[in-house]
Amino acid sequence: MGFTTPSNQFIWELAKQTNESTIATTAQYGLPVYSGRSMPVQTTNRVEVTDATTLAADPYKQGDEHWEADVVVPAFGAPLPKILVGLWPLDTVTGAGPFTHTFSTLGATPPWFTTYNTDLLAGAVEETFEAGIMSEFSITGDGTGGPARVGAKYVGKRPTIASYTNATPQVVATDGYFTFSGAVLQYEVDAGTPVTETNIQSLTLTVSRPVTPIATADSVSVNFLALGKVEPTVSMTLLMANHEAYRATFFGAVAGSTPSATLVKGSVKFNLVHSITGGHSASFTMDSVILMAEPPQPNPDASPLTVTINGVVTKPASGDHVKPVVINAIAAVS
Amino acid sequence: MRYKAKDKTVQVGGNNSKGEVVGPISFKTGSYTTTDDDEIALLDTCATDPDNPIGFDPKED
Repeated sequence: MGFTTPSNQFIWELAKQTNESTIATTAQYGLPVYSGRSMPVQTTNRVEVTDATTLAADPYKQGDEHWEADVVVPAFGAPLPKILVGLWPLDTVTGAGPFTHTFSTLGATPPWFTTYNTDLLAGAVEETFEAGIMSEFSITGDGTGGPARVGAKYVGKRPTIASYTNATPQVVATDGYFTFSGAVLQYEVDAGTPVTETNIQSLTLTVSRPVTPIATADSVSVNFLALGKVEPTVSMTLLMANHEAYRATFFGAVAGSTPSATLVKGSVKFNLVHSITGGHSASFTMDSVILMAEPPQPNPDASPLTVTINGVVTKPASGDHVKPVVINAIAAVS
Repeated sequence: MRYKAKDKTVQVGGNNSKGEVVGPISFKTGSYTTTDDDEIALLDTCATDPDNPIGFDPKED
């Protein structure tokens, strides 16, 4: 009886391409994952014609083979800007070390990425996934602490089995990570300036922009990717402190008592600190958010009363819907 | 076009409408002059953003 193959010896890697056609052959960052990988996607269909000899029509492969990545990784300090630049293409770097990366132009034409799977087992296949663009960024955390979890989704044109040069993988113990534990979390349900609150049990910020691979009559794998509209949302579970969010949601003001015809706009800012390096940080500022709170639900089990808030991030007076800033040791623009 | 930055540590990078990398552009001398259309588009975006440290240089040539 032999040993089974362990599923944990895996690194997901990525590199930003200089243009659409120049596929990167050297990974820029290697990341251990909580879950996910890059993988090919193909679809089949059946030739639906009348047929006297079989009960099922013959299948054929559609011309839309492409790749998708849906990975969840720890919020490492160095690679985070390389991930963010997928949706916020403009990186302005200031400082002489540490370096402040301010991201802007959310939703503008994105850069192209190559992603890779590295199976660390001997004789493993190296996979290169060409010319992808980011379709979703998310960051989440809760009371369990540890690294904030970054979700990154990409859709790309052509999966290949092709060798490449690995990056040095990020290591939790020595590289550290961004975490919400010990950081400052802020929100305000009815004002543009958020204030520090300590009753957030869990939080998730998601910025998605659907990317659709478009097949053409002559294609085997896709050559075109269609960009959808940007959708930034935020959700939080709060330990019940007051009824302000609930009243603002349904009654138009934190002291409201009758149905309101308008939505109340608030603001949210999530800050993260670095687990090892003081002075390194990340923040996500949302100056204008419609926060909608469900009324708290009673429960016979006497568990803590919580309030679930879902927020739709709207365009603020200036700048992007979501404004990320990362302070780390990387001097180069992303 | 000529641009200036709030200090000499400022760098900026992005991409053009085809997703091709533009930059990095360094302001290590405090100002930057370019005739490249992609760089002008990128730096114009910076200069019109009140939160960005890059601005138009009034000493326009």
